[in-house]
Amino acid sequence: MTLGPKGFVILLRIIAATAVICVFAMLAMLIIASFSPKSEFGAWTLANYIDMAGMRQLWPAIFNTLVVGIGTTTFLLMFALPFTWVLSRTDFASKGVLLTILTVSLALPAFVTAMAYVWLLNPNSGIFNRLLESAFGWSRVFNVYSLGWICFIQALMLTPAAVFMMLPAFRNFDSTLEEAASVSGISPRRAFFKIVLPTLAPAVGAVSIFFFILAVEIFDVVGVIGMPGNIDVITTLVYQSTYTVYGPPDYGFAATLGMPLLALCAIGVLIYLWLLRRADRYSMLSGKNRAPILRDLGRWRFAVWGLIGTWGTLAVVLPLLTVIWTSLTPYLQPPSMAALSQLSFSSYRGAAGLVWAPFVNTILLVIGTIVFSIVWSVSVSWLATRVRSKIDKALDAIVFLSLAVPGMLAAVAMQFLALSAYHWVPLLGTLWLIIITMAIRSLAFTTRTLNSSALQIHSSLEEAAYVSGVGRMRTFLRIFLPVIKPAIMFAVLVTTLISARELTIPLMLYSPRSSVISTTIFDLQATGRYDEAAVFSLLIIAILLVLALASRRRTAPIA
Amino acid sequence: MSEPTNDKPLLSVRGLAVSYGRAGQSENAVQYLDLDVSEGEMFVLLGPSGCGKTTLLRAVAGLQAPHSGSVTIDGQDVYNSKSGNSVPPEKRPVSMVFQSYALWPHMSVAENVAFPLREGRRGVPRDEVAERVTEVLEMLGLSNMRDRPVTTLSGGQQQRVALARALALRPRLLLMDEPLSNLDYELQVRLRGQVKELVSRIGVTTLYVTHNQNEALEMADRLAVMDAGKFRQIGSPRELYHGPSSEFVARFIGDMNLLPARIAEVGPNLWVDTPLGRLRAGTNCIDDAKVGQSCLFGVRQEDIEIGDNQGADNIVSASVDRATFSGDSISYQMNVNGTGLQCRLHRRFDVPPGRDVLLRLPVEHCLVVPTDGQTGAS
Repeated sequence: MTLGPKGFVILLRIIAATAVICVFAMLAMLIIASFSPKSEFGAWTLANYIDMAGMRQLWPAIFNTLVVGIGTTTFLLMFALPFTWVLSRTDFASKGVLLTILTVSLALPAFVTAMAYVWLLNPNSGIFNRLLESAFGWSRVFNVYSLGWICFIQALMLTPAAVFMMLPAFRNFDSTLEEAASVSGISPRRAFFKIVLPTLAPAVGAVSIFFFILAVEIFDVVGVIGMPGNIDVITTLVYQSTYTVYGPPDYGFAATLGMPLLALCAIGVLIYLWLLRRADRYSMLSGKNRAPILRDLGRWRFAVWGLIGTWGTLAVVLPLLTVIWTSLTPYLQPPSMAALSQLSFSSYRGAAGLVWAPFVNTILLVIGTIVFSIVWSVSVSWLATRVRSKIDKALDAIVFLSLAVPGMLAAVAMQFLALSAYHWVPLLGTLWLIIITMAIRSLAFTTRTLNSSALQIHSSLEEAAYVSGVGRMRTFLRIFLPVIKPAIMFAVLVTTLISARELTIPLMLYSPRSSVISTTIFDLQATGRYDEAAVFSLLIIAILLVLALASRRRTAPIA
Repeated sequence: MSEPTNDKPLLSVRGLAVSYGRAGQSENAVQYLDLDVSEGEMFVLLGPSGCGKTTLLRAVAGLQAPHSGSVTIDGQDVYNSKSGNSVPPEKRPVSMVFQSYALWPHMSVAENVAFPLREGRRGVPRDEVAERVTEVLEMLGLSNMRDRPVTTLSGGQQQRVALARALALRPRLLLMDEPLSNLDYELQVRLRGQVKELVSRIGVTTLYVTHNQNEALEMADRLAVMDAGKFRQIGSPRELYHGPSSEFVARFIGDMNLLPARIAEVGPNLWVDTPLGRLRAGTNCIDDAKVGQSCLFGVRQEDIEIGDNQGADNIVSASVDRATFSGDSISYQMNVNGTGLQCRLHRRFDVPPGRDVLLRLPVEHCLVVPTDGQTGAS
């Protein structure tokens, strides 16, 4: 293929434009849907907004959503900050152990952990509650159906991601700043509060906002715990208005209900970007970074072990054991001699009959999402870092905007689009619709990852190929892509991990022929088939564990 | 004197202007330049950073889009703003050595050299590739590291790989963008000679960018001194050294004392009035100089000698303010009736500060240069 410089730019812009069109279509559909009665396209009405304003659950749901956001972020920092600190700035001897535990925990999808906690701590039949009752006669000690547990479980699950996000900032912290303080006669304690903390504050703030947004938009935990516990948040209201059990699906009203969430996330993204710029400004100051001074933990290492043990038990060991136990028992019951005699693999046989289609669909979903996401994002990144015209920067910015649209609302918009366009493009209920929605959602992350890598690589590498007679396409394929390969591999691994365990988007969009493992688990759990849900959970955990450990090897030089 | 002798120059640039940002809105990085480089010539662009020399080079390569003018390489019209013709870099008969070397980090030494031959559009016959790679690696003494990853090489070795990659294409025009500036000083000095020798042995026409005046003087057949997007002077190293046509060039090349002066007498002998007194200059760089015209009197530090003959021309009496010993020579800050004068003398003239000496400013090395703003002799 011979393409001139212009032809090649046009080709990539066409590819990037399809992504931008999808993002725009998604945003437009969300807004149009919110003004549409029921799920009818184009009949403008304010009825949805009027209905929303008169809804009894609205304000409690908004309040609960904020509580979930703030509560999750607070619990999250209680684990993530010490872990990050220990990993980056202390002489803690077993950093590898901590990193491995954090990585392994990525193999547990949040909805699986939430399910495990329901099985353990629901007030009536929870395994742990039953144990306490039979041992001490205390009944209903724990009630998992509460905002506190929702926040806590979300925090447990988000901890590794938060640690991996904060680590670079902590690690690159220029320790000559501390040295400068100490040779100027400032005590280490004062230096920590007056120099280290203020310098790292924007980075920590940005990460906090990021996880606040994530905490209010993920459906995994509120879907499993909030809905049966009658705790409304915005995402559960959106879900319920589209779910047939509660009446005919009304995507128009769902979009309207999502507007407060969209506003919340949009504000969050703006604050996030603002903080990120501040954090960048600080990090620009350090020219030559020296290896950080590692603090002697001394006796504190016992406290660190205690924290790791607590988190590891609650986030990994306990949920995993619960899932295994539940998969082997016919109904929820605490471990006992009687229970041991009932252990069987019968639920595995039951699950085996259901597994094939969801398993294949999950693999297709992962592959499809990666292909769309990577083809789109390498095009956008090349244009944004190499051509850098206004058009290309706009493409990049619009793609990044998609970050502000929560997954559930993206799904509502795409479902509305697919319904409206059903006669022309039969995407409704297909895996394609899920793949495209997932790919759009992943773009903000993949383009950021590729952009930062592409920016670090001087464009003279490609110019050297041009001036020695190598064409554009060939230079792109043989120089640009291989050189940013580590970033591409990282993006692929993270996208794989995220799309394999994604619940929200497939749950909103799937039909019986496009069900994946996560939606199957969710349905089994919702219909009380806990043992089979547990078997499927073990399957997805096994798949994710392989991926997580692969990513551990990939990120090892970083982490 | 050293104007191109061939009828057809290999590189011909006419009215070339390059601006960053939108054309006409921002200041031009390169301002309407004309340049001819003849076949086999080593032409150096010299100037301070930001003068537009790299921009000009990149425009010739096709990496930077000009907004007006034309570029012709080996008779091929590669850019012309009038006809709208713009040949992309991959189709121009050039190759380039980058300041950063721009070696492809995922390839070995031999792969770096072979990749453009194999995948490029310069029509290298397939069966010739291996032969050319071997030949060029041998020429640059890289044969024993042909399979090494380029990331494991030292700076000097990387530089040679970059040169090998560029030469293997047998370009009509070789472009070099500060190819030595990332090396340490001693290696730089050694490689200047080697690169010059290699390039002239192959006979490839070369456009070479540097900000280092010594490098420019040593390597150039001809050079252009650039400032603010314009050529200040074009000529051979000797012409520019001995006859700078402007204050800028005089200051940029060599360590020159430049004193404000006024022309006192023209004719066979040129006399000027300076703060040091009335002095005679051997070289006049001003077109039709007139008596009373203000100008600059220049003499290089290394040309000043210790005087002994009281009655001869250009003898001044000075006192030593400061002496700085630097091994082979001693740099002096002299004071002549309150005017500072720098000179560099052989170490055998070791005079302590405070002592008075007689200095001779040899007439044949004294110049009269126009102040910037006036036009100089071209």
